[in-house]
Amino acid sequence: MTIEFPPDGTSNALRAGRGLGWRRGLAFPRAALIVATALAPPTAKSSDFTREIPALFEKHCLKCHGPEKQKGGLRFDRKEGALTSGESGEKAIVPGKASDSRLIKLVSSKDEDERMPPKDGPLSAAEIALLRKWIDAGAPWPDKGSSTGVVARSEMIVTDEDRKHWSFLPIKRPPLPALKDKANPNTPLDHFILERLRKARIDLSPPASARKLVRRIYFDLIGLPPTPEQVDAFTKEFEADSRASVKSLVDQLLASPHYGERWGRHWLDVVRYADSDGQESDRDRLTAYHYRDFVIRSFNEDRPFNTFLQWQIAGDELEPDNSEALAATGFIVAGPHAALTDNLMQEERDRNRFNELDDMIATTGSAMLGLTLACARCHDHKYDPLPTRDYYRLQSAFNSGDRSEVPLAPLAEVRRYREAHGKWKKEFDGVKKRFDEFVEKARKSHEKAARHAKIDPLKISDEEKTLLKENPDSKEAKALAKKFSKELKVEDKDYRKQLPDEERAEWDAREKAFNEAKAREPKALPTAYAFADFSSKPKETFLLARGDFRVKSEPVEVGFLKVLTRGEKDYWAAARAASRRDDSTQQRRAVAEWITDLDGGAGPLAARVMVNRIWQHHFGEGLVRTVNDFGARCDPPTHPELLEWLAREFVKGGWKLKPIHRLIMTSSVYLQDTKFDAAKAKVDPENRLLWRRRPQRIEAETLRDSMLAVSGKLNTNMYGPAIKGPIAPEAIQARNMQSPYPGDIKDSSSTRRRSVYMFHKRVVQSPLMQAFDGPDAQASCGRRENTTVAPQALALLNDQFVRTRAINFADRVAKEAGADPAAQTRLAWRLGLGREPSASELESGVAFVSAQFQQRTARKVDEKTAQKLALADFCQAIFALNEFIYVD
Amino acid sequence: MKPCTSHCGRFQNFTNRRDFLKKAGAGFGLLALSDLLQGQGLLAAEPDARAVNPMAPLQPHFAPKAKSIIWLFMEGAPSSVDLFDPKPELTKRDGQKIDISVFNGSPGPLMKSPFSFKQYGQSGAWVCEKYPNVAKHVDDFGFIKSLYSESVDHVPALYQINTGIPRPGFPSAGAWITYGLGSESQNLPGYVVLGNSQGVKGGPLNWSAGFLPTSYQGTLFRSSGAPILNLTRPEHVTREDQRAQLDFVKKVNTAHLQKHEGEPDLLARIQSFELAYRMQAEAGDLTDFSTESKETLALYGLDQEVSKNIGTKCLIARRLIERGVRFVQVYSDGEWDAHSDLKANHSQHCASTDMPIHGLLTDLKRRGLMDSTLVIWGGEFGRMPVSQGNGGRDHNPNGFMAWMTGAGIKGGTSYGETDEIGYKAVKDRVSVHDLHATMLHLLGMDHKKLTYFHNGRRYRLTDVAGEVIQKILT
Repeated sequence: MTIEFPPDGTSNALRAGRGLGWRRGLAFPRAALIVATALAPPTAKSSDFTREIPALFEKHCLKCHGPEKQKGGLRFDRKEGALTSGESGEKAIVPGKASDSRLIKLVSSKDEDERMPPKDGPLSAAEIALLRKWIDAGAPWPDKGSSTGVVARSEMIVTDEDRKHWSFLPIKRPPLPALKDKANPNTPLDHFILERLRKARIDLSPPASARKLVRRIYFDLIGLPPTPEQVDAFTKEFEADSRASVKSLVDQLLASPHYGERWGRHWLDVVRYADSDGQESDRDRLTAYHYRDFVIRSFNEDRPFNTFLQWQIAGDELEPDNSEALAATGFIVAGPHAALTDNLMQEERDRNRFNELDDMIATTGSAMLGLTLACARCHDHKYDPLPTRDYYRLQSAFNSGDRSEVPLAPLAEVRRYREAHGKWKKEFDGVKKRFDEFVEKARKSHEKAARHAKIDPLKISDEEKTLLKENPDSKEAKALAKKFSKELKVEDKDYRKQLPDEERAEWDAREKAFNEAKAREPKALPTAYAFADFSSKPKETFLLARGDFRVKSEPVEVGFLKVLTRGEKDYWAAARAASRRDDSTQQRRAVAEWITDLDGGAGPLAARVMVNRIWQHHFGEGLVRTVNDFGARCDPPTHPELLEWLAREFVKGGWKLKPIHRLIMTSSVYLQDTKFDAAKAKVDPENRLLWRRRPQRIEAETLRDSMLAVSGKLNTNMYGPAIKGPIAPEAIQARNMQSPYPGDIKDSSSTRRRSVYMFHKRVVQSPLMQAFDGPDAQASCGRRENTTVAPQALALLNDQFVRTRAINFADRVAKEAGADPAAQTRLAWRLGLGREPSASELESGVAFVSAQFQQRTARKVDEKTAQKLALADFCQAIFALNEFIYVD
Repeated sequence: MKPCTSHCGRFQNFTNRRDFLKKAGAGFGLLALSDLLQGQGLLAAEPDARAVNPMAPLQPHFAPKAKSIIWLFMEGAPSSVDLFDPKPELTKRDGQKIDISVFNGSPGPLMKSPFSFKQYGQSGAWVCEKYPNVAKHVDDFGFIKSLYSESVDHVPALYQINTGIPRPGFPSAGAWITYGLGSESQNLPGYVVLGNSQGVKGGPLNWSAGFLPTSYQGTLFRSSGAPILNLTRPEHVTREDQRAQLDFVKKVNTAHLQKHEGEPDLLARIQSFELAYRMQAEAGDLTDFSTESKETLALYGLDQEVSKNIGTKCLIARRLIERGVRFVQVYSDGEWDAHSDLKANHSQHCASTDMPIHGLLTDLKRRGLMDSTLVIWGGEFGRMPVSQGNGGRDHNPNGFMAWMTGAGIKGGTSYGETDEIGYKAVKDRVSVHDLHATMLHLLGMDHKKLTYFHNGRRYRLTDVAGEVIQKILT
């Protein structure tokens, strides 16, 4: 088999990787403007030549006299390339003398063969005048480099052209495509789907059966299988009125608290949530769960998504009295962290700090905006209009604070607590100091006596006692001291015994005062692992050359991605004006307002990215498949108008998710059958037009939760500290952890909670989660891998958790179905797969259980045990079925 | 096929994929594969096989020198100047204070090596007194004495030497290699890690698949008992019980598959159970040394307490590559992290690795496996020329070394140099990317062409750098 590739395929890919550095724009429709930084920062307001001249060169000259070609030995993107004589020997630009400059001669030449640019017509009179003016003014083009001389390269300028990328535009209202009379889809969104299908001359598949739908809807919305009763109830309603039954089931499950557990988990993937630091020490984050609970509650309450995003960036600044908003900034710090102590090399700590800041920026970009912001850390983004400067402006917001145990209490209460604690501390320190001094005095004057008092009761010879007392440094005495180290240990309280009565009374009084003072310590407020600014003063932040933290080029102020910013709104000033805190810079609040601003900020993009995520989780793939990348290199939307329409519905409805779920899940396209059709597949092999439903594999968590639910062992308690479940000791494979994972945890009701509450330890991932493609929480995961590998099969065959659940499942079946093998098989089937077994399935199920039983009794296993184990083998087999793990 | 007219490379990717899938008749589920095939020479494999088994072998870009790699990973960072790269100037200036910054602060003065050195073989390579058996092989070694990396701390450095990037979450070299080449062994994982018996700092992220499909992550083997997790059947379940269970599952799954045309993942899953079943048998055999002669066991140092552990791992490594496993990483036990008393620390680590390495190299040679196996020795960084505490040395990423031997390596060569005291690589500096590029090259892969599309760009093991170290190659 051979495969042709489009010309230049590989080299294009290579260029993407290695590139020509900053000048990557030419191959793309958007024309990034590039100027020398040195000309002035792009924000400069002065009407000098900083914008016009480079723009003019970019527009007319750089194609032939730029980084890729330097015809005539000239290039107008660099000072040294422009102010040279080139091959003609004549200076293109003579600073101060426009009329002596060859450039002016050529652009204003009447001779078409001579005139530059050679194609696309001559420059306008205004442009030529501008060039003249510039050259006459001395062709200001300062030497390379700025303050430290390290930023010598050109800097990207974001243009209006850049803003025209589809995902950066304001949200439009696309008209519903008209349909043929016959078509009667469930929802408006179907119009967009049907329109595309019609063009491809294929149809939707017929609606799926009630049995398929009920499983689909349960797994989709709450991540748990329906019980046999729930299946029956739905099937009955479906027969009466299929549309109404679907709508009612969707409403019912959207109201279930399990909905937040299911959909909150999707968001936790995106924000790389875990309960420990990762890196070497992998310290546990015992209060990180407040963030997880905030996420689950937000989904359950259908908190407007714009608020949801805002709180995660600046909940503490926006709603300082709201515990949930305070915990929400756990988002920023949810990534890996290396706790490096102060005594370690400064350079290493700086390196680590900037890596952690990068994680915060990268995750904000991927999770909220679908942008690969981290690419702009060392150089302007290679494909998207994201200058490095934008990156460091955003960094300023995060650089002014760090991870912190944030008190979960209203601002006033925190203030009161801090004051009270400060006051108490002062008092306590005084009492403590006085007591310590007294103890020290007692120690000094009674050290020997106290030591001797310890020696006397020892069961050793008098000689040895004398030796210990008189000659403690001798070898023999040392050996004795070592032997009786416990008995000979002198503690503070031993001095007390040596004191004269009066002094002892004073000791007691002071000790009492100390204990009383200690008891007066104000009760600590509950805290969450979240983010807090250092103070109200922003920390100085620099644009770093090549991303190197050692090479600061110039200070930057908080700012936003220019390509997503319209108008002149000063978000930071507004944030400061609205501020209720005096210990915070309000920079994050500015970012939060900007990121959700539909008019002047990134709101349209944020909305599109989220509706696409919702679509992905309902269909397996997003309308844009690169869910974390909506930039120039994204996978273009299959149904751009539909995405647009959904985004508009979303923001119009107050950024609420539940109505979007409702829309999607009642649509004809969602309710289709899974049946394959070779003719349609020929037209659209990847099902990008959605002519059928594809079976979806349930995720690791849903698999685990389903095994628990089916076996009747799921503990449905919600919220609270994360639960460490049993992990085989041989799977705990890391050294030097500060909080090692215990190897001896037993399976119990408290470990049998839904997987979203499991303790996600970065360095010790649950083997079951890992085998089934659970995310590693190192970076934002928008879409999980879906691998099929032997270790998954091994886990289902041999993992302790799986086997234990199979035994529970068997016990349940035996209890509820009685001793009849057919009844057992039938119940297990209904519990596990949501349907009755077919006649042949029933037959082979019964035969299998019977064979397993006989195999065991032949090995002299007693009948009762053999029965139990045979049924467990059967129940475990159900867990291993494709039908258990793939939902139609 | 229609040529790509769009601008960004991404469209073209999908165009190709669709056409590719049509030709392959495989339907869906080959996302990773088509990315892999994109613009590469890796087209000889049967796509169907790879959909079912992600480790199905693929042809490299060009004729390879090596088929598999054994990486002897000296965790904790051994000191070059005390093992293979003696520095007379360091001896001369022993005790002299210099201006230097170190990870743990309070640097001591320059410290000469506590070991004596001798030259060995035709090449006259220097080896310290503690490695007398390793020294016998120097004429087969290509030394790299000018490695450098970024971080001064173990875990970022471990991540960098394994993945190229000093941060967690990127695919490791072994993952890239198995993604690119698959594995000859169908019943064993293609990428095996024989871990540090005390655990590796930074844990499994050192053998992570990062953003590559998780199928390519390293599988951790234990050197005693059942080597892989979930290899032991549950209590009261015999091999026959399980076989019957699998047969039942297969029967029901096959019926299900017939109702689910166009879903190759379902077929792949059926086959994965069979593979798992075979793997249980084969992986179990790996640690059964009854077929090895007493002489072989002794050769690997299994008869001595000090070298038994690592000897066992080296022997398993040989047995793994013999069975077609692509990439094996053997971690030393404990760590070479000699912050104090380097003499004791390195003496112990040399003793525990000397015979096992000698045994492995000798055994590979006599079994004819050396021609197709690349063996690498090295740690995550090196150590300082100045002392720390009581006769120790602090971390040093500025200059350290590794050696390679076996397939494609020109024996008796040495590339690059650190300065006269062994602090910093100064001549022919070799980055971690260069090291990785060389590994891929020996396996027949162009490191610039082994790419994976993720987060809007094509990623490589070697990021945007990497030069093959030609001078140590045949």
